[in-house]
Amino acid sequence: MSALREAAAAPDARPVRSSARRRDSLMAYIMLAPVLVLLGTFVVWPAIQAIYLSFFDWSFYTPSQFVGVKNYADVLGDDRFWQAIGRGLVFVVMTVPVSLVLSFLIASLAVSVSRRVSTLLKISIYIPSVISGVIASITFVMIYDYSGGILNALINVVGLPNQAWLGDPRWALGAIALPAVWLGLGISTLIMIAALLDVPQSFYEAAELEGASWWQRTRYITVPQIKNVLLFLLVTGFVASIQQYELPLVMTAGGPQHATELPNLFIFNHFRKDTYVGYSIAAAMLLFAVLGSISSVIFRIVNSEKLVD
Amino acid sequence: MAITQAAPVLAPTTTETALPARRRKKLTPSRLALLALKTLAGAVIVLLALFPLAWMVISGFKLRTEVIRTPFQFFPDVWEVQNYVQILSDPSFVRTLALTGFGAVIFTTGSIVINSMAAYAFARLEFVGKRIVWPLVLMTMFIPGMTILLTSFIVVTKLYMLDTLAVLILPGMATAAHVFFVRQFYLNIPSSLEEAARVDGCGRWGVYFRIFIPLSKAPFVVVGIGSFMAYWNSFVWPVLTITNPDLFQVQQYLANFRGERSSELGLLMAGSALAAAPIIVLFLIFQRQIIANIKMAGLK
Amino acid sequence: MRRRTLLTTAAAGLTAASLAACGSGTPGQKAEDSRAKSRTNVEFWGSVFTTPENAWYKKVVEDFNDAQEDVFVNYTVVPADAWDQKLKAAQAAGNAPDMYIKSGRLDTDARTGLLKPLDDLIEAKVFDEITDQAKEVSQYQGKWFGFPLLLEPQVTLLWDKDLFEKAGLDPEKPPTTWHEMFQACEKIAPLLKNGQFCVGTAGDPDTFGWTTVAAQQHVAGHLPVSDDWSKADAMDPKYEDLIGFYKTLQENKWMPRQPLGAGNSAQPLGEGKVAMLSQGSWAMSEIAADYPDKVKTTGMAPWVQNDGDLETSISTIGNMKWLIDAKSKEPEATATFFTWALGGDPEVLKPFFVDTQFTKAPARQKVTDVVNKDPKSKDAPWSSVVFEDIVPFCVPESQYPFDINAALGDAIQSGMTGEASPKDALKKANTEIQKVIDREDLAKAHKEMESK
Repeated sequence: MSALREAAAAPDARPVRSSARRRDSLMAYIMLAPVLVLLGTFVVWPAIQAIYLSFFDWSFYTPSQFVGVKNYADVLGDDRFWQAIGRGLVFVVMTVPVSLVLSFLIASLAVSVSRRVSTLLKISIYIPSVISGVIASITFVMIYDYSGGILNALINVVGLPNQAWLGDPRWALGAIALPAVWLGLGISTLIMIAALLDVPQSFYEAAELEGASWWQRTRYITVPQIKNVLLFLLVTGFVASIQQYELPLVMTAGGPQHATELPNLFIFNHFRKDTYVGYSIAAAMLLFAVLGSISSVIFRIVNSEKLVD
Repeated sequence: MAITQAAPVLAPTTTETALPARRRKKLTPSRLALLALKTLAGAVIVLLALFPLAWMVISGFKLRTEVIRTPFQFFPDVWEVQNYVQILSDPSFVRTLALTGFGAVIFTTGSIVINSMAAYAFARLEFVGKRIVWPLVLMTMFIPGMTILLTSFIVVTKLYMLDTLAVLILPGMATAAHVFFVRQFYLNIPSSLEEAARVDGCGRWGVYFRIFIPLSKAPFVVVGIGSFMAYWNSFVWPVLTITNPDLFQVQQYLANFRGERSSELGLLMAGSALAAAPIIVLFLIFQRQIIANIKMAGLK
Repeated sequence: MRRRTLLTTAAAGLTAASLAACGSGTPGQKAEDSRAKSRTNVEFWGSVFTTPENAWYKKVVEDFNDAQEDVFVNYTVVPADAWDQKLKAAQAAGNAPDMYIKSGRLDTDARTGLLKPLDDLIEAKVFDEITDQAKEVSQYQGKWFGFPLLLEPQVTLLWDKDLFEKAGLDPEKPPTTWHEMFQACEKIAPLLKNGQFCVGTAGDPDTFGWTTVAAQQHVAGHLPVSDDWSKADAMDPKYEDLIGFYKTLQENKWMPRQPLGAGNSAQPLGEGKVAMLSQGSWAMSEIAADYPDKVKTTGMAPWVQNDGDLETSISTIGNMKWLIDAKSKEPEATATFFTWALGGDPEVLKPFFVDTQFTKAPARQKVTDVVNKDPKSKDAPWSSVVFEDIVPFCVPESQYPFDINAALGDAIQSGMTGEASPKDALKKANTEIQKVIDREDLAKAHKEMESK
């Protein structure tokens, strides 16, 4: 801290190339120090330790045993792991496209109405985004309650019998996806609104003169114009969605029959139930690898698309 | 606690007052139809988006056996404020809210300060090792929290940080995504501004404090709300690291409450509503800045 | 500008200082209690139980801290949801509490060195009083690794006498076989409204996993692994019958497709959503505490069996025991608390069993005698059911890792809901169990457990 003060108080010299460079370096290190120290202590070092531990069988109180790649082999040979990854991808498919389409529609509406209505829309769609996963879970569990929840009361009105939204493997993942979309819609809509406002108005005026329909305008003007934003939302949506675990943790703990055991929850459940900790760390490493490669593939696509523009 | 009480009322009233605002242009029948359609769509969106929250608030007014009563009922027989009063008069709940708010403010301030400092260094300064350090910092963005959950717990234990505010604040404060975001912003600040300041006799630090910080309101708002939310809403980490009930965080408190008094559903819903209220109020206070600036999070 | 820098720096410094000042270093420690100073401190993690249990734990710690001046026990409640991960993380980091409470078997924990044997810490004569049933679940390789507090049946039948009467059934005669339960349901079902059900049982695989162990043993005469833990043994057609029982309840909509409350709670019965409930004996104390007007109309009996034989493996016997962490720095001080609270004056334990409405069996005969003499026991007609009709015919919980219970729980759940045929569901469970056996080398673990 005192270094910071000294540096700030140091008399300003006219730039001399080499010493300026050196002072640049000094300032940079001071500015970087907090972030580097914290990231190093709480992210990088634990990551290195995790890699190391993944090669051991460790039950904490007996000496850990080096087992080579056994943990990795166990995970890779476990169809539950692959099912969890597959389930994560299904969950992505359930949430991300819905989220994109909805936020596009809401954004289109918001840019075509008066300012006050638009503000109201933006605020109401964004409010859920600040709600925590825990509170959303608690609320949706009530909504889904089998014999006294409002959702079943609603479908009773149209004559359908009660459904076990969280108890039936066919519904459960969708029942988790709904609050996930609800929580995430605000940010993507606001970003989408900004993108729509950036599309030059003259394009639409020209199209309108030629009598283009809403669909044609959307298809040939809007979507190509906001393509980068769409891709950005796709990527961030994917990363957020496949890592989701708080909602199923609180709502179902992964059940019924693992139907909501998303990849991170699979690891977490193994961690808290297994006698040895190696399996869950190896699974986390592999998930990291799988996610990393999927993300990098998507990033590559995004980048190449950008180049085309 | 005036803030927390006000929030549940806010959402429904705004919905009603602001809707019929746009009725001044001349209307042809087809425009009228379109307008009606849009209004309807808008109303449906607003209702659906706010419904779960409204439901939470309404349920908070119900007796414990009414929340999921069979047969179903929408409104409580009697609107009981008892749940809200009871949980607000529980000193441990109020303390939890206050403490979480206190931690969130420190966390948010710290996060803005240190991440923007690092962002400036990466954006505007030349230093030895930049080419190695920058990718390393970026890489940490892709390490899933789950991968290092256990080992970072071991680290904070070894540092004697368990059951302190520090364990909640320090580990998540430096965030590569925030550094990245602010850096992008700084990269777009024209260097002519910087040169002009230099000519006026500003040193590097002067440039940073006089040019960059005053220009940074927008990214600071985005980083700030992100950090505040991350802190206020975090759940698994406090559960692992905080054992002393005096230091419980709000999400942890709610989850505990749900486990301990599983049949007190009305109280649970009231508590959830009150726990969500501060952050909603905060958002409503800053909504103009947030809505204006959030778009930057997605662009560039 | 410089002034602002200074201020920022000062603020940062202050923040750092205040953060450091908040640290007490020891988890769960509250700074206020002056008794903690100058005494040996013992860290005690408990979980969330029913209301009267929670109250007793608080009180017994308080009383002990007042009764002597050498040891200070610091009791921290860890919520059930957080228990597994908190304890795991604390063990990994080497700062687990000195003592904690555990239900279920302790063999795996003892085998992997997590626990401290109590034989050298507590006088042998204290252990002599403990009943055989309690002894079996508290020892590993012939040594005491836990001090038992109680035994309680994990599966009993609770029923709503009012509804039985309305349905034209004898309100004092609950079903004893699967078939009788179906018959009762046929009569009760027409009385129920939408959202009410005839039977509430487990509704998720994990709960099925641990609540059906006794039934698995009862129908098939064995558990789904071979005796030496080397082979999965889940494909017995008898298990298909067990799945069939739940499937019949499902298909006739006599039980809900989604649990109506937490896996171990009496809430559905208390709120009048089910006519019969499969639950541990603690459910009765929950009814008494949270739904007092239901006490008179609620009955308790052994859970139904395929053949009506209510004297063989009718329930697993759950238990709570206190353990000392292997890395505890104060095992002797911790043990003095064990001896005082669990091994000493029966009057210390009496309120626990009285306030939980005589639904739990003490682990020591002396305590049982004192508890039974309490005049309130006359108002608890179910206590004789628990002590005489159920506890003697209980089997211990399974000793293998929970993954195996969960695999069979999965099979019951998916067979019951028609996701898979019972046979296919069991086949899958068999594969899953074998996977656990191989991954954790359970045959070897079993040999180690057996050696003394």
